[in-house]
Amino acid sequence: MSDSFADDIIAFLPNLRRFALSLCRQADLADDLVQITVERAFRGRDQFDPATRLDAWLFRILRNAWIDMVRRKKTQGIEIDIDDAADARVVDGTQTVETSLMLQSAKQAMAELPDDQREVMMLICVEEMSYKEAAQILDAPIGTVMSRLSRARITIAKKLGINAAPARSSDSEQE
Amino acid sequence: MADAMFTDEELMAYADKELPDDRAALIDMALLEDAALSDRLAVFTGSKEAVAEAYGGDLGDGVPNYLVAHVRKVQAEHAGAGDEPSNVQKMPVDVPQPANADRRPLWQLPAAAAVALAVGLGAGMMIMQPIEQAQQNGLQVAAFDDPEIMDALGRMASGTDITFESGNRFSVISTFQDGDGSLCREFEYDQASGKTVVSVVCHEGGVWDVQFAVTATAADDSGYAPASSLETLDAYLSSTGAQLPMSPEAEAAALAAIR
Repeated sequence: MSDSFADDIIAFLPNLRRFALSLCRQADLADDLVQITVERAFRGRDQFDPATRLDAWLFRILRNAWIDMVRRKKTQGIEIDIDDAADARVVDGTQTVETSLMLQSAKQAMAELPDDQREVMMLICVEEMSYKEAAQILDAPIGTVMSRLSRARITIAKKLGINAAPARSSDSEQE
Repeated sequence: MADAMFTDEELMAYADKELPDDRAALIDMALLEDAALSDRLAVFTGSKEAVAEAYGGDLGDGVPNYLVAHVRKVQAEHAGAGDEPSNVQKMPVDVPQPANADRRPLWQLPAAAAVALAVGLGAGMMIMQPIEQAQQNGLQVAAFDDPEIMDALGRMASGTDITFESGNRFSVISTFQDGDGSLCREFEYDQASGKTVVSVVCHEGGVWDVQFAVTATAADDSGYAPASSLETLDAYLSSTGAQLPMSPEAEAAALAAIR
């Protein structure tokens, strides 16, 4: 197999780290998740279909590793204190106050979303996955992904003061 | 009013360029004459832009060198095996959820002080019989002749556990087929004494045949198998062509078939 597999993974490390941080909201745990993802990716590299996006495949592995962590915590008392989350990185002080406030507000609004809405926001709005790719990563129907995504964006728009609330919801709620 | 013709999900999909062309064309037209629809659309375009911008700067931080080094280290560990076909099963595009999605409990637990390994490899360590060889080596692998365990193996779903009157806890981790197509189950047996056994048994000739068993003294008070034993298990599963864990439905059907 091509050695580019490792290079490609390294190229996605920042994205993996960012997604991991959005899930667990602790920098040290996020790095642990990334390392576990790397190990599992090499172990199962034959499972990767080169016709698909490597980052989508890696996100799926990372999310499953996170689920393992959470379930381990539930059964073994391993501490994952997401309430002490050190999510927001320090905003660059050279940016304008307005921009900084907007960025901080957006991150704050993301942090306050339910977990299932935040992860779909990260995948689609930040990591630029398609609805179908996000659905495969999350093992969820596309309708569910769209429902979570829609509600998350309406919530965030309200918190950021972006225009009026939408007038109509879909009947396609699947949760 | 055009505004009411489109759901939030449709407008969002339009904003994300995920809406089918014919439906998107209708929204194109409606936006020309309906300001309220434009406002609703802005909710979805604006929220996406704000969040994308908020997190966009995070990529500029770079990643710690040790993460890059970790990739190279794992790459080196797998070097040499790269030209060999892996026996890891190809994942289908729409892979069914395993009956127990937590079947790879490999993450940071304290390393075991000592791990003792007994591998049957189909050599006939029937679950109906004491594992004499293992016991000669000082292993109390498990009371595998215990009818409670045999009963549990035949009926319990993956992800469930039971605590026997003895205080021993039995939990099924997953069900899968090995490379030969035999029905196999992975389980943990946490003994009240503090010993934990992680084992794989396969159903052959009407009995559960022990394929793999690793026993360890838990490294802490949790009573659960430490990570090193699970890594050993992972290596074993990889080497035997173990297939992906079955979905709950497939597992139930497979267990019913052997009753």
